[in-house]
Amino acid sequence: MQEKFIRTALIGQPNVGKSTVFNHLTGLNQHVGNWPGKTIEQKTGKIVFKNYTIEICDLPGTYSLTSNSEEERIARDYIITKKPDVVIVLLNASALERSVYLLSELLLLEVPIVAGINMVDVAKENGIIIDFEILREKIKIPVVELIASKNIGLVNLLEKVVETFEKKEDFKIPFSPIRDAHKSELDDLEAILKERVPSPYSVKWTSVKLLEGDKEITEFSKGWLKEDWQKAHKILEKHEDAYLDIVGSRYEWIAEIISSVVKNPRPQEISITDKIDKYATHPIYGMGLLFGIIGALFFLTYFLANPIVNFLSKSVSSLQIIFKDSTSGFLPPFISGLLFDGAFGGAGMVIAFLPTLLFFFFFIAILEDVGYLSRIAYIMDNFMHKIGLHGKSFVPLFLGFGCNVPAIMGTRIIEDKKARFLTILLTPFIPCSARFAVLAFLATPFFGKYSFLAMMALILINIATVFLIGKILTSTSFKGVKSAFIMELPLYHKPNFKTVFVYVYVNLKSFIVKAASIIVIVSCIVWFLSAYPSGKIDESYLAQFGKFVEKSGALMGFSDWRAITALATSFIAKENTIATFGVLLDVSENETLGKKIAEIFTIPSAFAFLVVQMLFVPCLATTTVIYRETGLKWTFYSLVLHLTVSLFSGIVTFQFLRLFLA
Amino acid sequence: MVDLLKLKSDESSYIVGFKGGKEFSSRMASMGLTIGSEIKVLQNYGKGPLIVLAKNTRIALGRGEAQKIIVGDPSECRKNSSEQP
Repeated sequence: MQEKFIRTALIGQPNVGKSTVFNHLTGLNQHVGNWPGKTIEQKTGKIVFKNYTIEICDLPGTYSLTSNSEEERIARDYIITKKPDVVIVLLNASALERSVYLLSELLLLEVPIVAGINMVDVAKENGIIIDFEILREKIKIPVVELIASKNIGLVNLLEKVVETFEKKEDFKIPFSPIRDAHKSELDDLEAILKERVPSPYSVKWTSVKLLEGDKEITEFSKGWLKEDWQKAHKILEKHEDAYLDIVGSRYEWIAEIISSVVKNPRPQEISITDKIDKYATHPIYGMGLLFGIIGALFFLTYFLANPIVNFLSKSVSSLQIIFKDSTSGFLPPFISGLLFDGAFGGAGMVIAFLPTLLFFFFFIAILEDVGYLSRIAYIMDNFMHKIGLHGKSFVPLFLGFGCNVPAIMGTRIIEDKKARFLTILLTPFIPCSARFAVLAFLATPFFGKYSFLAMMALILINIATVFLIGKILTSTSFKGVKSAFIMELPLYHKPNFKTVFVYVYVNLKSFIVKAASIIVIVSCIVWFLSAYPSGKIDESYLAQFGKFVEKSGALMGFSDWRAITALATSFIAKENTIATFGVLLDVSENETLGKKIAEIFTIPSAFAFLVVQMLFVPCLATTTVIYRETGLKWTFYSLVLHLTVSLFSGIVTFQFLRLFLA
Repeated sequence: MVDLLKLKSDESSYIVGFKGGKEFSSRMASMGLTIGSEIKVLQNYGKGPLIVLAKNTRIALGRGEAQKIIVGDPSECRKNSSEQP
C-alpha cells in the first residue's frame, strides 16, 4: 500500500501543553528553524502512523487570530495560505471557556479541525467535569480527550486526524459570526467585498476581521477595493462598536456550550495553585523565594558543570598537543596550526560550553514546565519596568552572571521582539564567570589590600551601566518598547520528564548546529592573525593592530601596546586576556605574571583597564549566538555599542581617577 | 463603576467596559476578559502588577492595563459598551 502524506498544523493558546503534545508525537524527529524572515522559532516534525506520514507544523502559541502580534499573524497566515490538510487545536480542559475562543476563530476560517482537550487530569483535580459526548454534539468537530504528559489519547488524536483527512467534509460555521444588532452591516460589507477578495481569503472572514478592526486585513482590503474602499470605510466608521457584537456572539455560543458541558461542583474551593501563589507571588516572600530558587539554579549549574568543563578543557588542550607532536614530522606548520590551534581549539571551545548549557537548560526546562517562570516575570516586573523592560527580561540578565551564551538563548522566553532584542543588547554588560575570573585575578596585583574595594566598585559601576544604557536605549533606539504587561499564570503542575529532556536536547542541538561552525571558522581566522606573518605573537597582525591603536589607548592611560592586544584577544574568550599577557610578557622565575602585568599600569590606568575588560565586546561564542538570534545588523549594533560604552567608560574612569591619584 | 485598580485582593466584580480601544479589548477578550464576565482580584498590593481570575484563568496585569478595565454592576454593560473612545 502506498503511503499518504498529511500536512497538519498544531495550534493552541499558551500553557495548553502544546510542546508536550508536539514532543510526544514527533519525538526527536523534529526540525527547528525560524519562520522565513522572522526571529520566531518554527518547529516541524514528522510521524509515521499506519500508512500515513503526518507532518506537524507547530504554530506559535496564540490566544486569538487577530493581527495584534507577530505570533498571531504567523499562525493565521500559515493556516490561510498554506492550507494544511488538518488543523489540530489544543484546548485546556481546566479553562475550556477561554480556550474555545481560539477554536471559534479557527472555525471562521472553515478549515478541517480536530480538537484535543488536554490536561483533563488537571481539570479533574480542580473539580472540573467535562461531558465529552455533549461537547462533540455541540461543536460538531472530532474531539479527543488528552493527558499529553502521560501520553494518553495521542494515538486517538492521530486516528481522528486521519479520519478527518479522508472524509474531506464540508462544514458550516456552527454559530452566527455577529449578533443580530450588527448583522446587516456584516451583510453590507460582504456585498462590497464580494468577488474582490482574492483566494485564499474568504469574503466572510475578511468582512468579520474588518469589523473587528484588524490592522492587516484593513490594509489588504484597501488594496483590494481601491476606490470602493470608501464605501466599506463609511460602514466601519459608523459602526465602530460592531466588534463588541462579534466577540459577544462568539462568547455567547461558547457560554451555551460550556453551561451544558462543564460541571464544576466545587467552584469556591481554593486551588493548590492559589495556595502556593499566596507566597510565591507575594511581594516580599515571593522575592525571597525567587532569589533562593535562582541562587540554587545558578549554584547547581556551575557546581555541576565546572568540573566537567575543566576536565574537557584540559583534555582538549592535551589532545591538541598530542596531535601536534605526532604530526609535526609530516604536516607543514601552516596546516598543523590551522588544524590544531585554529579549528581544534575552536571545536574544543564549543565542547567546553556544552556542560554549562546542559545543566542550565535542564533547570530552566523544569522551572518552565512547572509553571514558575511566569511567576518570576510577575515578581520582577515592577523592578524591571524602571529600565523599560518586562519582568521576563530579568531571568536572562541574571543568568548572564554565569555565562552570556545560555542567557542570550534564554531571551527566547520574551515574546515581544523589541523587548527581547533590548535584553540581548544588555546581557553582555553582565560580567560572566570568565570575566569575573579575569577581574579577580588582576585586582590583587593591581590594588593589593584594596582589591576587595576595587571589586565592589566594579560591580556598582556594572549595575549602574546596565541601568543607564537600558534607560538610554529605551528612550532612543527602543522607544515605544511595549511595556504592557498581560500574562497568563498557568496552574502549577509536576514537570514532565520527556518535555524537559526534549527541551534540553533541542536547545543543545541548536547551539551545536548553529554556533559551532562559526566559532570554528572565526577561531581559525584569529589563530592566523596571531601566528602570522612571522610566527611570533609580538610581531603578529594582532600585535600590529595593538600597536596601531596604541594612541587611543593613551586616553585610558594604557601606555603599553600589550594592554590593548590582551584586551583584543579577550574577544575569543574572556580568559584570553591573562593568557595573552602570559605570552607577551617575559616572566622570569622569581616573578609572578600578576606582578609583571601590574608593572605596565598605574593605579588609574589599571582600574580603567578593569572597567574596559568588564564592559568590553562579548566573547566570540556570545557574539555568534547574538548573530543567530538577531541577525547581522543587530550583532553589528551590539559590537559597536559594547565597544563604545567600554572604551568611553575606560576614558572617563582614567581621566577622573587621574585628577585624584596621579 | 470603577477601574479594576480600585478592587482589593479577593474582591470580585463584573467587567462593564474597557478604555483603550479595539486592540486592547480584543486582546482582553482573547484571554477571557469580556464585557459582562465576572472577574476576581487575587492580588493587589497597591503597587506592582495585579493577579486576576477570570474564566478559571489566572492573569497577571500591569497597573496600566488594569486601569483600562472598568468594573461594576453587570446591568451597566450594554450602556457602557457602546461609548468606546
